Parts: sequence; structure tokens; C-alpha cells
Amino acid sequence: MDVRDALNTLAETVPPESELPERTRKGARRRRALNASVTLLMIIAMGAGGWVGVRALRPEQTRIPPAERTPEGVTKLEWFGHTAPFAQTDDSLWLAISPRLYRLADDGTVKGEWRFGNDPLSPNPPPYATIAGTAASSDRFVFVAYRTNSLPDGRDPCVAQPFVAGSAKGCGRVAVIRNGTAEERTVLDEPPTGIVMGDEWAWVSGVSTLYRVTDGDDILHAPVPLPPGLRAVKLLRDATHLWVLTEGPESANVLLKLDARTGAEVARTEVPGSVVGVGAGAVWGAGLEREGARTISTVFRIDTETLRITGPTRVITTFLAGDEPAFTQLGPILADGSDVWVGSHDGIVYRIDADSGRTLGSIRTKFAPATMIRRGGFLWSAHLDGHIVRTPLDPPVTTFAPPEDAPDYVEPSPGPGPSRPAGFTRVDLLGDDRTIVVHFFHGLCDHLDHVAISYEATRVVVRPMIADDPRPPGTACPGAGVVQRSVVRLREPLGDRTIVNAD
Amino acid sequence: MEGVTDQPVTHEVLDSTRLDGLYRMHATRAKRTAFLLTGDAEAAADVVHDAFVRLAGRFVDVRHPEVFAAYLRRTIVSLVRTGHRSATRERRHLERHGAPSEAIEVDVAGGLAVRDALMKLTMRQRAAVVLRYYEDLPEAEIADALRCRPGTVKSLLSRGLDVLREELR
Repeated sequence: MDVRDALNTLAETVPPESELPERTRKGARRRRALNASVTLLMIIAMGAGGWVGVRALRPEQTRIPPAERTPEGVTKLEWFGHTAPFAQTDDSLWLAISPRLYRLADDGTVKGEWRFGNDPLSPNPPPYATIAGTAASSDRFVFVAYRTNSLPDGRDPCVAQPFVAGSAKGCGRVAVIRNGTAEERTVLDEPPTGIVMGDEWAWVSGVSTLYRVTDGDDILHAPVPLPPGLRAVKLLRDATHLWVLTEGPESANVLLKLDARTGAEVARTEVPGSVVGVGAGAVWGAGLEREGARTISTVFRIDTETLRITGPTRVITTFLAGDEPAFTQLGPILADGSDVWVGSHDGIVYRIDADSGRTLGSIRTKFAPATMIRRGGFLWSAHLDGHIVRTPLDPPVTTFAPPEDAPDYVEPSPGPGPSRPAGFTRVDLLGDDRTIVVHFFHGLCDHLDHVAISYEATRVVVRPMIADDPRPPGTACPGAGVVQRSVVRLREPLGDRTIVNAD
Repeated sequence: MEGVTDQPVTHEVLDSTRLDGLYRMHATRAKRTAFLLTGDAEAAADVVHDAFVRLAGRFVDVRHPEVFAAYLRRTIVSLVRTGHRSATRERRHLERHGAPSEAIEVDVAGGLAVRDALMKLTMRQRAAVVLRYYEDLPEAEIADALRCRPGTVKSLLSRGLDVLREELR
């Protein structure tokens, strides 16, 4: 007898489940209401006297102020994934989420959608397409540069190379959208890495060549070869110059400054990370530094005239409890006017000072931002889960706000009962040197009571304190746990000290 | 143009963070596991219902829906092990049968024998066998789910298989 076969055969006599039964839906709703009621009753029962007493016994802890503004959810697209930078025309925002391109009105309405192939990660057949970017020449023309593969029967004239997701192989196409119709204009010999609008044509960067593409025909106007040995990975532009981020030998990143009209090289410099934005008189990049048990997520600024690098300045410092490396990825960066906005993969966008790189404040968004743009007094951001939100920028953002609606961010809820230290898995210190995000692990039947903080000469000890949830005796509790985060403001700046768990 | 297509794309992952999506993804396997543990299709449905209700408040919005299956499995084992009978389930039993019912008959040749043999095992032996040979869990995870040492899991599996072989000989 094969036990595995016997169990599988017996199990398959149970018919498959497809739809959530109404009673389970109602039960879940009641359960949530019950949880909320129990929490409310606990708070009332604790009473003001108990509250004061409990607080008096605990180390001082300054809570951060509530979010000073709330981003407005504009829309949630049905598709998400590889997202190219925003482009805008007078009446629309253009957002490419490969292999689709969306045209959005200011109220979030989707006014148009185009597809340039299938998603490379889908089980659907070729052609697959990854959109490198879009560039709007006017309200009549929008260029789309995308990478695609050959069809199985080889009919595609584009290229004979096999498509490998993530590789530099494949070929490129540029399409133009005119009167709502997408027309393929140009076939490139290599995959596009970026596209920006020039004065009379769109510049498209391949891996080793800059192409000029017009909206009137499909002729490539005098391609400009990039310096040998450098592979272009990103194309940006400001009012006067093109900026091409390249990877050189031994992975050194080299930034090329090119004449925006001719494509001729004006200057170059090595950069200590990845360049992710241009504006406010500088090219902006994000990097990482490691110092012992801490990892520092930084931004640096390259003056567009002198190419002098300022910084890197610290945005987030991550302190780890163990040896496993962890850090917060920064980007995208939007530099517009005097404001510089730095997105982070934990769903927070930081406002930093354009001159000093110092962090001034933050706003919460939804999930990790993939691209940002300023439009109509709002900071628009598109997120890796398909959400598009906009945040009013007046008055300027000056406080640090946690992402309140992120389910793994929790507020401490101090109670009169005993609590125990859980230890943190990591702590992120923000650029103000006082706001910390504590990551910790706890069980399904307990919660964060408070975060205990002890200030010492060379270190600050951070202890998430966990207390049991109220539940009837004998109730089963799954032996699993979850990682959650809580935001706390230190009583004093951290300075040169390190953050550690209790001994 | 040649590069533009209208072929459909998959969207399953979009629903995975909502209760409906979680139910569609996990309910069939959960119900079958519960059936193997209880030997009763109706009881299995009730256990799955209760498990989803318990986890709904905490996990519907979780960022990593892939961990939901593990939590659901633990909850089901825990509910079955503690002999959980919710008020809903008791009421439905009484409404339908007036008294505890016979299990639904298994409509497959040999299925009854396998089910009856499984029911001869102790609850802990049955849970160990089902988690090992139906859920394909490693012994360490079974030990975690049953809150015992890995050595105990080996012993439960060994004794459970002996009983099954004896019953199905």
C-alpha cells in the first residue's frame, strides 16, 4: 500500500472549493468587529489612572506626530509589474507597466490602454515586451520604446537572437501613438534602455548607441555610437544636456554628459552608485555603504556644471540584530524645483534638501513607489502593486510620517499586564537621526505593548515589549508569528552611538 | 501592427491578498486535509470555515500571502486536535440531524477502508501521517505544528504507519 497515493485518492473525494461561502464572509466580518470591540473594552477598562501609572514606570518615549497629510488614492490599475518612468502631456499622464501603456486623466480615469506584446513573466506565448520608457513630444505624439523578442516561426525581422528575460539580448522597437493608434515606427538592433524627448526628435539609448527617432517616418537619423567599453543602462535629460548612466569595465558606473542636440560627449565622471534622477541643478543617485553591523542607504548629488559629487548623505541607516544583510533600497528620485523626493522600497517618500541632502520630512504612500512626477500641485506616484496616488505639496512636508495603512506597521498599545522583551530583527534610523522604525517578530496571540529604550554613552538599547492578547482560557493559538514594524522617535539624536538589542 | 496583441494575461495573483482570493487559493487543499484528519466531510467544511474566520482579521491584508497556507494548516490541525466544535457547527448538526450524524459516505472503491483505517489512529498519529504524506511537510515542520520534538514525530509516524498497514492488509 502506498500511503501517499491512498491519502491523495481519499482526499480527492472532497469536491474542490471555489467561492468564499457567505457564512465565512459574515463570520470574518464579525470576527474583525469582535477584535475591535475587545480592544476598545481593554482601553476603557485600563482607565486614566492605570494609564498614567503604567506610563510612569516606563522609559520616556516620544511618539511621532500623526501624518500631516494623506495621499489621495487616484486609481488602482488592474495590471502591475515592471514600471517605466511617468511621462506627461497637457491633459494626460502616461504610465508604462510592461507590456501595457496607460493614458490617465487627472482624476485617475484610464483614457486609453495599449499593449505591445505579452508580459515576459506570463505563460502566454510570444511576443513578449518590456517597455523601457515613453516620451511625449506633444499632445499628438507619444513615443514608446520597448524590447521584444522574435516570433517562434522567425517571421519577425527584428532579430534572430533568442529572448532571455533580464539579458541585454533581444531587439528594440519604437512605436508612436497618434490619434489613439499605436504604430510601430522603428526597429533597433539592440534593446532600448531609455527614451527622452529632444527638440526635434526622441533620443533612444540602446546598449551601445544613441538613436534619433522622429514622428514622421521610420528613418534613424545618424545614430551616435557611445564610447566603446561602456554599456548604457539609463537615459535622462535636463534642459541642456543628455545624461547617460553606463556600466564600465569591472562594474564601475560612469555618467556621460552629452550635448542634447548632437549627442556629442561633453564630460564624464565615475559615480558611487546608481543614478536615478536629474533636476534642481544636479544629477541624483542612490548608493549603499556598509559599516560593521550597519548598512547606510545614501543619496549623492552631482552638480550638472562642475560634475562635483556632494555627499553621499545618509537617508536611512539600518542596524541589524544578526549577520543577515538587510538594507532599504532607495529610488526613484524626483528633483523638481527646490524639492527633491526620494522614494524607498518600504513605502515612504522622503523630502530632502537639494543643497545639503539633509532629510526634511517624509510622506507615506502605498507600497513601494516605482516612479514619481510632479503635476498640478501634487506629487504623483505609481506603485509596484498598481496603485497610483497623489499627495498635495502645499504646504511643504516637514514631519516624518509612518505609512499608517500598511498592515505591518503597528502602534504600541500599552496595557496594565506583564510584557516581555522580544528583540528586534532590524532597526532603521531615518535621516533626522531620531526617528526609528523597529522591525520585530511576535506570535499570533500577542501584540506590541511598548518599545523600551535605554540611552547609554556608546549605544542605545531598543527592546520591543510584547504582551499576550486577551483570550478565553483554553483557546487554541497557532504556534506561528509575524514580523511587524513600529515607528518611534528617540528622545535625543543618536549621534555616534549604535543601536543594539538587550544583552 | 505586428508587435501589439490583445491576448489575455493572467491576473490570479491580483486577488491573492483578499479573503476571496485566499479562499480560492487555499480552501480546497485545506478542506481535504481537514477531511483526512476528521474523516467527516461536513466537519471538515466547518473546521475550514472556523479557521478562515479566525485568521481573517489578522491575515487578509498580509503583505506576503504565501505564508497564509502555513498559518491555515496550523490552525486546522490545532482546531481538530483540540476537538473544536463551534457554535455554528453544533447548531447546524442539530438542525439537520437532531443528533450527531454518520459521516458522508466516500464514493470511491477502497476509500472507506482507508478512511476507517485512518480513524483507527490516535489524533496525533493521524495528524503526523497526514502532514507527512498528504501535505508533504518535513518532520521539523510537523514537530512545530504538533508542538512536539522531531523524535516524537518519527515515533508517531512509525506507529501510525504500522496501524495503517495492519488495518489495510
